Amino acid sequence: MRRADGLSRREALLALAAGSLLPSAGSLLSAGSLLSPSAAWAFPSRDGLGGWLGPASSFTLSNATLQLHDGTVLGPAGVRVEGGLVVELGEAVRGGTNLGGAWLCPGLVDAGTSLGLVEVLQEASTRDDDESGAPVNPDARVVDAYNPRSELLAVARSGGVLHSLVTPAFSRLVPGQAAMMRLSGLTVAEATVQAPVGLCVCLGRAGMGGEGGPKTRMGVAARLRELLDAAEGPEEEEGEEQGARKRKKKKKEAEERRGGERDGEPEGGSDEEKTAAERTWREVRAGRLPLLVHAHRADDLLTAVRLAEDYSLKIVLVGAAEAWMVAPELARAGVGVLLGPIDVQPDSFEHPHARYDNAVALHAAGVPFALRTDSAHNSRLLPTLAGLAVAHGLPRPAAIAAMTASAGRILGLPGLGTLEVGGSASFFQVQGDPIQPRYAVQAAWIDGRPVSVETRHSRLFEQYRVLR
Amino acid sequence: MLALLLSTLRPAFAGAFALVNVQALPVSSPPIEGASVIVRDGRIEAIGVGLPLPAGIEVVDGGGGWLLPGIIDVHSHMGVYSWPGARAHGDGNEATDPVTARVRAEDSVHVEDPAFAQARAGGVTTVQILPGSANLVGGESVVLKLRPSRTLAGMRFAQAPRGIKMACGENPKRVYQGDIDGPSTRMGNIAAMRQAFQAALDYRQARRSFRDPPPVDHDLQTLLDVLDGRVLVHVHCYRADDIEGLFRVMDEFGVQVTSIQHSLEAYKVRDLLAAHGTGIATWPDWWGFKMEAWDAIPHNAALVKSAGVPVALHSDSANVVQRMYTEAAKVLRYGMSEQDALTSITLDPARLLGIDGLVGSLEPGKQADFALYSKHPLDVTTRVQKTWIDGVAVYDRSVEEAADAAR
Repeated sequence: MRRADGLSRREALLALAAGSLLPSAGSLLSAGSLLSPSAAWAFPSRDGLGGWLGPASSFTLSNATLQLHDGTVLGPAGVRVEGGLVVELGEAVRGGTNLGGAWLCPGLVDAGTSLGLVEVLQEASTRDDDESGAPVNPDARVVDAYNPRSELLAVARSGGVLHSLVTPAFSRLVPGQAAMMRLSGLTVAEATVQAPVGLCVCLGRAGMGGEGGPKTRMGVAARLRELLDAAEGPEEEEGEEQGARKRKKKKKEAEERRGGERDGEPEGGSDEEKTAAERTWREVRAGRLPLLVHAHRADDLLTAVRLAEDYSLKIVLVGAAEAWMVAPELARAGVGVLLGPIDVQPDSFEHPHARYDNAVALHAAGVPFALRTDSAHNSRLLPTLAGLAVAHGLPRPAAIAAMTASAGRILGLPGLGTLEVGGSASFFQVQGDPIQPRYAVQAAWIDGRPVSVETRHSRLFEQYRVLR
Repeated sequence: MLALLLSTLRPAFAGAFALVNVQALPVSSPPIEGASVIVRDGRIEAIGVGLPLPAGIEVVDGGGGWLLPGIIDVHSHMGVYSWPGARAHGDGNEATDPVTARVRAEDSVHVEDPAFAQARAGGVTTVQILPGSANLVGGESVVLKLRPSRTLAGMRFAQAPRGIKMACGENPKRVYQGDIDGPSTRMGNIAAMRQAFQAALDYRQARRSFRDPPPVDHDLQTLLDVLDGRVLVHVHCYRADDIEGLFRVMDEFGVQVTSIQHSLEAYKVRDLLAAHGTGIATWPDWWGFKMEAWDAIPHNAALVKSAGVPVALHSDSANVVQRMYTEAAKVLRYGMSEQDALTSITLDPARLLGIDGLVGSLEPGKQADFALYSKHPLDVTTRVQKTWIDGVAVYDRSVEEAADAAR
């Protein structure tokens, strides 16, 4: 191959060996530049400070293009922030910092990642997302694993993603409890928006395996029914006495089924006598804690709906690659969907009918949905995936909603991912249309506090921009 | 029998048509608004504004859409890991020995992998199918045109030079760490490469002896072809020090490395790559999936390109290959120009495969491989309307949508 500078390969190699393609060691030393920042694996990072750049303050941004969560685009317009809240918004807002036409967009909400739980995917020592082994872990809570100093959080912010539903890996029957996190904060408590927001369960192949875990789809559903049956239902909370009577009856029946063998489970109904796992299941049975049901194949999605109806549960579907095939049924059941990743392919027996226009069918049927990347490192690609949905027919406003306000609405956290007067000031500044990959995020705020969009990547770029 | 064989070997389109009313992005030259392209016998005959159309020629209206050369992906495992994903479809890694120069990806390709059709719908026309990276020398690649075909012969890019896949870093040492002969370390990787090339040279010497020449060894024979510069060398390599180590052993044997594949830390040693005349194939933004991807930065492609090194964006994925134009759009925000971004999915990959005289740009004389887009290819909301290979339409969105509506 010819080189751009016309040197032959041999000449170039000789020049390299002689050091003439590089600055001489002498010039390096005199400039003191061998003392460059370390490329060691851990950088001193803004995330040592939880990503915050400062406290919440009052400020005004103007001459911007506003992308609202419902898809509306306003501009030139501005935003006025006080006490962490948006107090004024629109074309009448002037003064403050002139953004010169840059866009402001509500902080994106990724409706499913393992952010904070994973650092390097193939390095087991850095993974806390998969409590594999035991198939049922109702009390595994992501907040007990979340690392608020993960390098990945800043990378997500650099893509405009300021909040995420963090879930355990969807593997085995009951992987654990999901939480809604803000992607900044010194401590887990500071980073937590709400925990738990749902108990994760898996249907289909993902729900199988583990020690003593089910091996078929019918086995998966049967185990879930068993777990739900063992928990108290809402009717049993009606009255302490009545509930206790029912429990006693149930227990007796169960003992009879097992030939009189005594059941070791506690008999009482009060919280103190229950294990954490039992309390979790009771919340699920009472419809206070949604089941986040991961499934892709169309018939698995309907199995989820059947279980929800049989037990009067609140469920939210997760994944749902074949949802387009059962969109009317999902609409009738009033089920929300954390959809994605939307580039999932028809490459597996779990989702042989995956299509790019999946979201279009849900939108047409009126099924509420939010987009999830099902990632950690690539959460920053959420807007690109929304753009892909638009390419395949999803109206742009629906795509914007699906990466901003929808997740909060589906999960009972209204106000999350919105840009509205009275709402939390969580938004980011981007060079242009946020769904276009070409535009860089320039700044971001969470609850009115500026957060860093500097990343490990931008620091490495600075280090190697000029070779020394 | 012969007729049948010929029919699968000669898919080229005989005849002519004019594609008019397009915004052409020739890549090798500036964009042309309101362009026409005349195609004859599978090749581009002319491209420009206001071309006189030969009498009676079939005219296809491009509707003002954007025309980009067929996308070329230099790193694909379609066919060797066919859909649907199943253990039985794992034909990409002959992980029985660290050096399997003798195996050829073409002998694993399942030509009816449904992923090929999906890639055509993404405007992709040429792919290099590589063996996996379990082995230091994984075997020969095969360059395919994504013509719908029942046979491998019908897909083969006949004029493409041979290529071989090699690998260093974490994968080979992980796969063979349980083996008594290893390798199980990075130094073991490089040592085993050195030993393999030395064995090939010794074998040549021995084969020349009249008394007791060793039997033919296809591994060593292939390595001799590599040493003789008859095979393009593509090496899976992530870390900067792995790239440097690879050059140490390759320089020792005088082997030209055509491309570093993945090359996530290429930005740290882009001067080394430039000096070796070696190109890279990389993702725009993959990172953190393994330790040797921990220092990957999305500025990599732009930085390496700025050093005068050919940069191909590759997919390594039957999923991502369908949206290579969006992959190219991603590097814009990290400092690459539109022109370089489009080059990274067309002409630069063609260079790395040694086929840039035949494909990779819209120029008279080149093979008529291109796709028509509804919007600029670097707009994330664009869609491929139609893809042509050798002047034959191989994907048409309106036909697909009509079939959909009829279901």
